[in-house]
Amino acid sequence: MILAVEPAKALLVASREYLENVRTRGFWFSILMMPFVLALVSSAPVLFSDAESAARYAVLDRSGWVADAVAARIMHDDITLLVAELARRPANDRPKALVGLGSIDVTDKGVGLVNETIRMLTEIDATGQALDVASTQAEQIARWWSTDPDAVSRFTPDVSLSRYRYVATPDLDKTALNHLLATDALLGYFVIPDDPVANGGEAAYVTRKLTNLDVQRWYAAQVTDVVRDRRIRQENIAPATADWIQAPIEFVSMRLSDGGVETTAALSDTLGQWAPVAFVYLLWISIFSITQMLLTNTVEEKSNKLVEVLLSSVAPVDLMAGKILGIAATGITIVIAWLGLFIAAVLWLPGLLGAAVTVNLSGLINSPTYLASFFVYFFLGYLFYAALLCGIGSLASNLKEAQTLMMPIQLLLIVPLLVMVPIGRDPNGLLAQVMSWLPPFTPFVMMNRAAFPPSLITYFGTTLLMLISIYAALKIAARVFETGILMTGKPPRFRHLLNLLRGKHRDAP
Amino acid sequence: MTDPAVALHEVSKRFVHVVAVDRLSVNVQRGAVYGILGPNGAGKTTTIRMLVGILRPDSGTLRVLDCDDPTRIKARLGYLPEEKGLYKKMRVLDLVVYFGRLKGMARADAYRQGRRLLDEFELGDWHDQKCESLSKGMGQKVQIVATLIHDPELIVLDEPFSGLDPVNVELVRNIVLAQRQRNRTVLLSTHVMEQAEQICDGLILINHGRKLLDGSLQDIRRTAQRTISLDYDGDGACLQNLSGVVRVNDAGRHAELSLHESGDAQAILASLVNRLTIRRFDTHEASLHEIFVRTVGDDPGR
Repeated sequence: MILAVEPAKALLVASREYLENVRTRGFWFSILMMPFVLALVSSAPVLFSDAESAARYAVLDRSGWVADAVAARIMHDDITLLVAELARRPANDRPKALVGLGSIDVTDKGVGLVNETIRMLTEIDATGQALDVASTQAEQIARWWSTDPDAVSRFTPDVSLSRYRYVATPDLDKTALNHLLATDALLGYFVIPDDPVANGGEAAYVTRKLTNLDVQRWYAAQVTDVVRDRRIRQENIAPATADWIQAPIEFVSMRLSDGGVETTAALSDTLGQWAPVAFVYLLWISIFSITQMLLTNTVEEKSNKLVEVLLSSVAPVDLMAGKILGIAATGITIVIAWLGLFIAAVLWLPGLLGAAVTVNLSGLINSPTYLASFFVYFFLGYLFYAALLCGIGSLASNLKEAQTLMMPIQLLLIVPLLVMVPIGRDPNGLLAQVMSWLPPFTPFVMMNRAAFPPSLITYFGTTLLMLISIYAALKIAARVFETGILMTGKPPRFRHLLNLLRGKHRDAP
Repeated sequence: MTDPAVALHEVSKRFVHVVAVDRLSVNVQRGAVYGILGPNGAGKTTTIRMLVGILRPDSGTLRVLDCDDPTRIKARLGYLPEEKGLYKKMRVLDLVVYFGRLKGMARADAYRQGRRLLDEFELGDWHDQKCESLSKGMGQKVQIVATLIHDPELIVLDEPFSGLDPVNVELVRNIVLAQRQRNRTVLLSTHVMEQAEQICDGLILINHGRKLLDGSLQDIRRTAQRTISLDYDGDGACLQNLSGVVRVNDAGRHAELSLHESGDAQAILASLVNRLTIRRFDTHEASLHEIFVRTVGDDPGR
């Protein structure tokens, strides 16, 4: 038997649902909030790193030379970065303090200026006096660096100064340093052993916040480098030989196309292959939030006492079909708006902000497969879960009950998220193949595999299975809905539900 | 004589643990206002839901407006359930139009008729307001407009007076009477006996899903026992065991005595005057309220 829906009435119910949703503030809010939230989440690390003051660290140097060597090394790297940035920017785009700097000579990559600036800074450090008059370029840069480090890190965010600040604590012992940790004056401090060249052990990083170990990784790498240099010199190894021994082997990513041609993999290729994961995520959010909307709507209508009067005009199956369609229309409007905003943001936002378009989306947008798959799987997934949620919504008298009944479905929906990355890595592996054939996961997993499409048989087979499952889910949901929607009081027990599905006592009091 | 608007024959409906309606038979003539009375849980709402096609009977036959399956004639029925709700965010006119269209009306007809009825119910100024801004009484009027917009032949009202103030009770009463004048059939369930007494042509009293009484108001009254209302001072113990009295409801200084068919009010008065100070003594037909309480009280149930 097919589902005997009266289309005119179902459409009437659907259009009312749609218009009512579209007219709410919540609808526009969810459309506009989503990109905003995404933008916020993706820019949060940058925002927070700007807002958060740089991590303050100290060094208890028992060797007597490591801290200085590391400081010199850091200073060299930072000043090099700063000089390169100053050379790149036109005069009017430099900080006010450096307006009169003039053009920078980069014939030797600015090495001369870098060395001179470091020399000035070392001098300032040694005398503890700021420069009164700054005439040369090196003097101007050194004065700016020593008087306004925050401006420096804003101008060149890549300098280590913007993330880590060295705090000089020449006469403090461990107890005093621990006290500084306790008062949060320091994030952590390093203990350098007496003779790290002979034996690297006993070095330590002491902190109360083990969640933030960036500074440890960074400083440890610097210490390793200076100690390694010292060891190489101690063993009289020529610097060129040392470089050669330490040179890493670089592997180049090559991409083998369908036509058997090997090309160097560009960033866009990698992005392209991970794009389905982004789509799976969007698919998941869409299906999850829209079916939630359907559930809330069903429960509200039931608790509003509207259902009875509706059922005197339309059959339960028409009411259910109308709801599913109306919410689908609402959902698809939201999803199209999100997609549009997303694409627009990626294409035009960097341009508006004055940066080059770094992500090439044209492949994504022009390739109809991804978008088409997205919409097909959105509908399949939505219909399947909508049927389940409509049935559940009809059994619950309030949202709290509905949430309890939702638990199994929510657990089911978590699975595609858990397997998203493993399947992205191995789109044709056993996990992907098996899960493609499990209807609750088919839409997500097949979307996940879109970069390396499986055989047509898999496409047809899984889609057919999905359609059969949707039909079965709708049939069962219609039967539950018919009875559940008039039920009052507690949701029925499982045994009663089974009886109901078998056709016994199908009506509710 | 035309076929009845509603004809139930031996209709039963069972839920998981209870028999809600038990072999119920009743006929409602066209153009009549018919009341379904009964205590809470008597099966009134279940009966009504079967009539409007929301529930199916387990056994028995049911004909509504000459059709065996009410789900096929939903457009000719108007139903106001006991638990009434509105789409709070919808505008009043849009809401009644929506219900009209669900009943198969064309959009333009529904708008025209909706405006006309809202004006008639003095809600014309509110047609553009959201339903959430309505008072309870206005909300109930809007629900009635939504029930009547498609001009149904059979109007079924489940507890239409519940929760209304006296002004709105009067209003609903007038609406029902106006529908009767237009030869529409109205079936209503109620707890308010006075209303039923005033507007119903016929009644059915059910308890535990079974019919206890059925017929026109006059017939029911005629078959019911006459009653003596008595105001007195003195020891009411002598009211017990009076000959010709089948039931005594003594409240101390006021008593209601139900008379047996052969009971003689004059003889009773004569036997009481020497024992009590009688301040008032009158005989009258039993009120619907008395009939209701007495009949339901006498019903042993199951």
